[in-house]
Amino acid sequence: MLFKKEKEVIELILKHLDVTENTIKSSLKTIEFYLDENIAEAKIWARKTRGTESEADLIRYDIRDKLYLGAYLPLLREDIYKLVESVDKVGNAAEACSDFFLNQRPLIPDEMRPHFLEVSKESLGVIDSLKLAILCYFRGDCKIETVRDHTREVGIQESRVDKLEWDLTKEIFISEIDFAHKTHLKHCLDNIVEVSDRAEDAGDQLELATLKSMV
Amino acid sequence: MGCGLISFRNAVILVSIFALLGALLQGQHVMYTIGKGIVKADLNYLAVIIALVSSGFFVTLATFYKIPTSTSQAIVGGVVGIGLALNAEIDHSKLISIVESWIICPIMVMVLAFALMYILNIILRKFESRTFLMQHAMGRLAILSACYTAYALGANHAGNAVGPIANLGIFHPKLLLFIGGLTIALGAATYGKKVAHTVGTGITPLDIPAAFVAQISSAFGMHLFSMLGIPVSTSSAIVGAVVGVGLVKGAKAISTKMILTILMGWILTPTMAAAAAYICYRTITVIWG
Repeated sequence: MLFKKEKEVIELILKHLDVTENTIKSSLKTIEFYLDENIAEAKIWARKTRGTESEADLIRYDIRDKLYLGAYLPLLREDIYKLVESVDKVGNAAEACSDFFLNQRPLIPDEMRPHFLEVSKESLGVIDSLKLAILCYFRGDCKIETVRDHTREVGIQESRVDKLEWDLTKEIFISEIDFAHKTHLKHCLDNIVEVSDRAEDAGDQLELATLKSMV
Repeated sequence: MGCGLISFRNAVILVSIFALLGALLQGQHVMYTIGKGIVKADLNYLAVIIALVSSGFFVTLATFYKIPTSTSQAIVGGVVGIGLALNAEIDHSKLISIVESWIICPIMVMVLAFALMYILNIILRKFESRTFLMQHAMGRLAILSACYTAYALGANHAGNAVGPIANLGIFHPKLLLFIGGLTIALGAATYGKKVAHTVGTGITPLDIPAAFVAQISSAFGMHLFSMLGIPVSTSSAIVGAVVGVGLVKGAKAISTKMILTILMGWILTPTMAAAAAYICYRTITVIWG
């Protein structure tokens, strides 16, 4: 089969993407159950998050080994691995986020719960556009402009997360709770928005790859 | 190698194999031209040595200063210089057609590269999906085209290097061509990196499709002239091709200063080689009687 090694790498990249998506979805479930005060269920989803994140790491190592063993031209290997690494970092951020909730157990005031849930859904939901962009690029079944539209959507969604972060930060710091509690909530919020920040980086990396391939 | 497709080590291995094949299979045409085609006389040992040393010296000098120069032009210069020093009959029509080919070849290659790059751009834009796999496939094609370039290089340049020795008639032509091909490989392994860098990045930055077009066009040009028995300049063909693909990107992408430096090398190398060969031969024969 022509380009067998290279096609195997693509399959692994798509598998890594699926597993990373599962990590992020599991992390969101963890947060949702935590905010719903169902800690037992949250723990189950946090374990799933850690499991899928470890699985994603193993796939990433496999991709790295295949590239090291000669899949793709040396010129392209760095770009491919950087892209995989940037997607992996999104999964890492999601895992760190669910770990934060279960390890540090932040006390979210009732009036802030809907806002924490909203920013979590928005930030961790960014994986949908990122996944579409990467699938589009690697399957090669859509126009380069469509890939760029999806990466732009990642950026737009990240900006929406920034706006929600701003509003919630303000809400935290003008509330009546003590300062230690405020900084703890802010730290929690930082962990949540980190996911969309990393997704934006991955989108930028993909954008760079598409730019390099433009004639 | 200039656009980072292949390591220098692998490039040297490929160049060695294909240059040797080109030399053995099609190097005899140019070898005959250099040996008996320009200077219509039997050369003596001293004349052959001086022709080779003076042309080799100026090629090495230009290469040291990273100027892509022409072995063909240097060797033709050296042989003509020796012919003049010996008062031998020089086939002017042959010489003129060789010099003309030095101008025609890069222009022809440049036009070919421009046309191919233009067509390839249209095809690639139509494809739209520019995945890593497609870039990889283009890269593989570029490496294949590099092999063809090395083959054409062997076919054209092995004959250059050993042509004057063939004039002596002391070795079998195939053995001479084998030695010629082998020394091309040695040259690529030792000094090749500097010139590869200059041609690959110094004139205009090359992407993978551009590298493919530049190599296939220059190889075609060199191969064509090799079959006609005309020694042409590999560097002029490659520079012509790189300029051709650069023009598709827009003339601003080409370094004018670099092109002028290369042109200077093309004029100076054969002139200096001819003058050096002439002066050396006359001086030595005067001293030794």
